[in-house]
Amino acid sequence: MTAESRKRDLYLGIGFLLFSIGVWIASFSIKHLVVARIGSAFVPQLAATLLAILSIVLILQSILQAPGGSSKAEKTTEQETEAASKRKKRVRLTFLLILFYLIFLEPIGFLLTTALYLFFQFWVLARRKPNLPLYGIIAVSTSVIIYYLFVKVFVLFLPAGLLG
Amino acid sequence: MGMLEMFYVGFSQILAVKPLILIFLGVGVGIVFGAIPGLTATMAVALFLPLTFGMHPVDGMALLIGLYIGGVSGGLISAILIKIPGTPSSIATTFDGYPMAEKGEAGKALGAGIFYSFLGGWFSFLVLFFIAPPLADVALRFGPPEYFSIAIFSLTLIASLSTGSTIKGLMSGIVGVLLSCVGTAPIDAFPRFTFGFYQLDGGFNLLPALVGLFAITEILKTAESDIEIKLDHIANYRIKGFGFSGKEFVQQLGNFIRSALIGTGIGILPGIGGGTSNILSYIAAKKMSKHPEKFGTGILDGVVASETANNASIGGALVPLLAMGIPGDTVTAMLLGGLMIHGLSPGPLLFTTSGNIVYGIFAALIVANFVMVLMEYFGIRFFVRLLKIPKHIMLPIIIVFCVVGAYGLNNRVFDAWSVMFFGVIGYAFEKWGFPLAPVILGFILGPLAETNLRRGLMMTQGNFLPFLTKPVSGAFLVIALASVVYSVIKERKQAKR
Repeated sequence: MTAESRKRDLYLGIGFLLFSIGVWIASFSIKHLVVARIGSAFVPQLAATLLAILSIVLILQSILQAPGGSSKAEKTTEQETEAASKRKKRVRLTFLLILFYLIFLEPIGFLLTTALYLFFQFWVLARRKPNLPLYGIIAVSTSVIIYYLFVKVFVLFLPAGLLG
Repeated sequence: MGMLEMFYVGFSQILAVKPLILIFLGVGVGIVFGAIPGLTATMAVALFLPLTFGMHPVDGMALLIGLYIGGVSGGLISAILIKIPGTPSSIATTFDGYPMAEKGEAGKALGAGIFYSFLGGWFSFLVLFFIAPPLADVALRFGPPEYFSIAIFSLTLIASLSTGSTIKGLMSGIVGVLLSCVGTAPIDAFPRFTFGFYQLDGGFNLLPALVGLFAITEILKTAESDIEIKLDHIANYRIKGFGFSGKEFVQQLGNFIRSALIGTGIGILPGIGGGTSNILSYIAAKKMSKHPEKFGTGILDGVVASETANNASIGGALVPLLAMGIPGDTVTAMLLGGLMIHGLSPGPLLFTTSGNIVYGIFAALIVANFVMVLMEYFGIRFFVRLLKIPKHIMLPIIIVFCVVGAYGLNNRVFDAWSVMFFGVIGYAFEKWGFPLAPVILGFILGPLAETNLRRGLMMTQGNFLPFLTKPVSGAFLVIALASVVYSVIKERKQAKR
């Protein structure tokens, strides 16, 4: 186990411990409605308790474990860090795009939002030089095909929005 | 009705134009999802699940079974030809499959892979046909204590068997249970953890949870990776016959039987499937072999072990699903969702109340297995060509399908948001080294355990002792505890080394 992953586990343990305390507190608002020894709060509280115990074990494990084999593995070249930051940027942009997609899906409608989302997402994920006209064509045609396929063939509702 | 008559009923439903078309479609799409690295059988079933809502249950199941068999089988194509397993089920196929291709035996490796996938599938179906009905009869006599204990047993087993640390596996399972607590509680219907959102009253839906955890997570992971598939040097993959001789078939017989048993057994255990069995069976084949040093250099034994076991897990995973309503792996978790949407709850009663659907599923398995061989054997060139579709075009389109499927569930954007929510959880968990399968099992088994615990305690006037003293229930709880203790001890030993 490297020093880095031990540190990560320590933070994770603390995070999950806080989370389980939060669940425990939130469970106080669950009322006991039935004449039985355990009510609806029992299982969430039991789960929160177990999670807290396991978090403490994880914290102890990360503190007590002897550090080993960490020094040589952590050297990274500049090229690698650059590639890593590019990767992170791709994931972050993908998150944002999906977020915008969901926000605008209902007000603007499926056809337009999907076409726009696809176009930018193709661009974000492209590894080589992006071919924007091609992306545009694929984005619009995919959006139209999926819309008609689902609305006409499978009879599912999709938000019509502006173009409906 | 006897078994033969029930099979007649099953086949008469499947051997019609619509279900057959759906099986062909399912197997074809499944193989594509299996062959393309980053797309899995789980994802294929998740994406097509919403389409089955409007279908007759047997038609819907035919499609999903086709996707399942195709998805598990397609992985061997990329494993052998480009050394990247198309799905986790084919990881061990790369060990000897790719070296065989390098030696110029790609056709032989593919032929054997396809043939033994077929045989492994058949073996597990026979086990399923003969074990599931009597098991369901036994399960009919189970009461709340038994179901509670089996749910706990399944949860601890998956947590301790999944990859990585036992502690993290258990934590994943508990997070799944907590996620299932959101919404109306069983028995008294008190809304829990809804924080004033009326949309949460019904809790999170299974489908957005599955699509988020498995499809979105996988897409984000692929967005992050830098690996590009290079297809410049694919070996000559003409298949003659099935590529191997009758003598070789006889030599592989022992290997086949062992691998099929491992695959089926792993499939029956809740929560784990082909992704685990192919590796375990490869290791077993190597250990038992007279020439273990040859493994990894491109010998038939490795391909046979891996490809037999992963398909054998299919029939195994369906045993607990159909007999007890407990999914045997992530794909069967989704089949559970597919049955429930039609108001069918998998479990022992399904055999009596909807025997036609159960035997329809059995018939679909047999037909889909034949379709798989035909399609992979004759369509191999087509599937190889599909490997060239660029990832950055394919993945966004799949995200759109995820959103459409989730939205179509209740016609509300809320479910699409849940997909994202579970996607973020899945991605974070993967990054942090927490396995995902226990989350989904916790999500499915949590309510089962809770309902049966509370029902059971009402029957016993609040006394927990009968849960321990009833033989079946007590035994499962003891095994559950033992499996956790065993894996913790094993882990400590490994850490010391």
